[in-house]
Order: sequence, then C-alpha cells, then structure tokens
Amino acid sequence: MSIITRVALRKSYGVCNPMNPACSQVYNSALKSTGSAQQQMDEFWAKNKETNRPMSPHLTIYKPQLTSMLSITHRATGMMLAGATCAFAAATVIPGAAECALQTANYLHGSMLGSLVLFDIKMCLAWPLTFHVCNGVRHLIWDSASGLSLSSVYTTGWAVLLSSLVLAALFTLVMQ
Amino acid sequence: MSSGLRISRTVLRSSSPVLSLLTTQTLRCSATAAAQTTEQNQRLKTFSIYRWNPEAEGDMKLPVMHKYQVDLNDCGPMVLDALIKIKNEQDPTLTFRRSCREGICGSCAMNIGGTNTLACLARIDTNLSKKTKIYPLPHMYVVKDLVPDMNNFYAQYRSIEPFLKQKDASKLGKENFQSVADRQKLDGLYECILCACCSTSCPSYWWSSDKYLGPAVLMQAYRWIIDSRDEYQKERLDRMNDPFSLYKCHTIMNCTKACPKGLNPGLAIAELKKMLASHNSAEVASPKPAAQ
Repeated sequence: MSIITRVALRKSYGVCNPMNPACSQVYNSALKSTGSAQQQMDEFWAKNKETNRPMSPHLTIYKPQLTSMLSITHRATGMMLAGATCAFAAATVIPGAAECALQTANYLHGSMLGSLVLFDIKMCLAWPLTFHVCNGVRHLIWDSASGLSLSSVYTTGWAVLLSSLVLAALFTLVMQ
Repeated sequence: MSSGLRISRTVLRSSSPVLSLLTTQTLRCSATAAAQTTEQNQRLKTFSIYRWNPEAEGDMKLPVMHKYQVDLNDCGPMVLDALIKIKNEQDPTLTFRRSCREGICGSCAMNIGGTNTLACLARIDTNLSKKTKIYPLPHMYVVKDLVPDMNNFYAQYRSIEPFLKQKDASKLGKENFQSVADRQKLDGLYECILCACCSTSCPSYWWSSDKYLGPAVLMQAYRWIIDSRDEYQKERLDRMNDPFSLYKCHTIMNCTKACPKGLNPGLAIAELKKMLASHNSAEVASPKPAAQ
C-alpha cells in the first residue's frame, strides 16, 4: 500500500482506530451519521409532517388473513364482553332493570319469531364469549412461546374458530 | 429477432420437458416468421399500480391507481419483471426500488395482491381475468410511486445497536469462540434482510411506528441479545423496558405470515417477552444498588 493511501486511511479513522488494541471505545463516528438514532427519528417525523407526502394505504388494501382477522375479533369480542359485564353489573344495581331483561326474553320466546331466529339471537350472545375464551387460551399458550410457527398459528386458529362455534351452539341448545 | 428467442425461452420454462423439444423447433421457426405477436397470441395481464408524483400540480396531487397491461408471453415470471417491462416499454416515470432481483437485498419490498412481499420473488398470477394490485408498503410516507420513506425504520434499527459489544477490553483483537450450539441459536435470525415486509404488515406498527420498534427490529434486538459473544445482554433488555418498544406487540402474527424469507419474528418477540419477564422479576427479587 502506498504511503499516501496509508496516511489517508489513518486520517479517515480519526482518533479512535479500531486496529489499535488500546482503544476500547466503540467506534461510533459513522461516515454518514446525522446525529443519534433518536435525532434521526425526530427529523423523520418533522420532515414528513411538513411535506405533503401521502400515507400509503393500509387497512383498505391489506389482505384479510386468519392471523389479523382472529386478532381483531379477539379484541372486538373482548370489548363486547366488557360491555356485557358492565350491563350485568348495572342490572344488579338499577332497580327494575333485571325484570325488564327477563320480560324482554320472555316476550321474544312467546313471539312469532321462529326457533331458528331465536337460536341465532342466542348464538350472537354466546359466541363472543366462547370465541374470546378459546382464543384467550391460544394467547396464553403463545405467551410461553410455543405454537408460534406459521403452520401452528393457522391450525390452532381454525381449531379455535371451529370449537368456539361448537361450544356456542352447545350452550345455546343445552341451556334452555 | 432477439425478442422472438426470448419468447421461446419463457414458454419453455412453463412447458413440460417432453414438449420442450417440440416447442423449441416450432417456436424458432415462428419467431423468425412472425416478428411481432398477433393480438390472439398475447396473454395480457392487468396491473393496477399506485402512483403519486411529489411534483404533481392541481388535480394530479392525489395518489391514483394506474392500469397497465403486460403480455405475459414476453415477460419474466416475477412481478419485478413486469414492473421493469412497464418502465422500459410503457411508462418510464414508474418509480420503484430494486437491486439484486433474487430476494436477498430487500429493496423491492412492496404490497402485491394485498400482502407484503419482494417483487422479485412474487410470481405473477397468470389468471388473466384478475388484475394484480400493487401498492407501496402500508402506512409509510410515500416519496414517489412505490418508494416509501424508510428512514424511521433504519433509525429504529440503529437504536438497538446491532453490533457486537463487549465489556472485557482484553478480548479486543482476539477471536471470539462460539460453540456450535450457541451459533445454532442465531439460525433463523441472522438471515433477515431488513426488507420491512413484516413491520409494515403489523397493524400495531401502523398505529405506533413512532414508539413501537416493529417485528424486524425486535427480531434483530433478540439476535444480539442471545448472541453468546455479546456482553451487554442486560442493557439491551433494559432498552425494551417501556410500554411501547416491545409491548405494543399483541401477537397478531401478520409478521411471520408476511416474511418473504420464511423467518419468524413473532416467535422471536415472544422469546424476548419471556426474557424480559424473567429479567424484570430477577431485578425485583434482588435489586442492585444504584450505580456510582
């Protein structure tokens, strides 16, 4: 290597030469750094907020997959169950609310609605619970880092969907 | 003409070996005879591609979808081949990133047919009645057409310090020995090409890309934490000890589904959560006195 190249190289390394064993500092003066990682992130947000760049589409274009659909259903059923629990709690304290609920149920049973419609209504109440419980078990298994291969995710996903429907039907038909 | 020979090669790729001999003969003859494919021979596939020009004026300021028709008889099998063909022959202003054309550089990551993949690895769906929709990576600021602003993603990667760090100064300059078992722990992690397909498929990353690191970066954080040669395990875990960096992952698992290299970021994140849980409980059990 020529003397000129060696001098140029030594100059470009600066004070902290990783070849020098005495220098134990992390070599962090990268060639094109514009500050720390946090600074780069801040610059990114500042720059993009002031330009008129559009955000690329996401929800409207991303293919619905079992992974994302079961996940959002878990969240939605969770919210439904929370709402139902609040309603149940309200029914215990608000005078006359419990009787009102019972009267509505009796009315529906005595009405002209066929048994299939009634079954569907009851399924709508039972399925969020069974789905959330079954998928919840799947989440607990995931928390131990097992069953997270793509094939397992899909197999358990279909299993949860099927078992939740079966259990909901069971509850609806058995609990009369 | 050279394009005639190119036609024969692309058709050969899809035909069986028995027929290939026959087709070679007939096509070589017809190629010279028919310099251009007739209307009937063309297999036209429609591509609907997201376009946006930062220098657009007036009513062109909003993003639009442009339709292009490509003759699959005269095109390579992958979506990137179609994009390059469109750029060469129909619309030179079509802008996209690309480099290796073999699925190793990660430049051509985009949303094809609703899922994030590498254009060079995504085979064109030969069903001509369906159009292939091509969008840039979801929920990213668009620089132009299919090019997203990746700087936040890179800055997040930089923030996890993806390099070997050792405290023992005497090790500098010496080879770091690693057992076969320890090296095997890195398999399935080091192969990441940082294409950002996984992170941009994660709805949680869509909503919190400022504070949530995303599956790609988290998998690399895990890669450095479990590297037996690295000595900053505790500090690397502490970097993740806030409500957003790691814990905005809700195990949606879109990431593993999207990875074009077949890696599993979701699993890496689950392992990270386990490590952080035991790390935190150890801290609670035996809290170290405040240093210096």
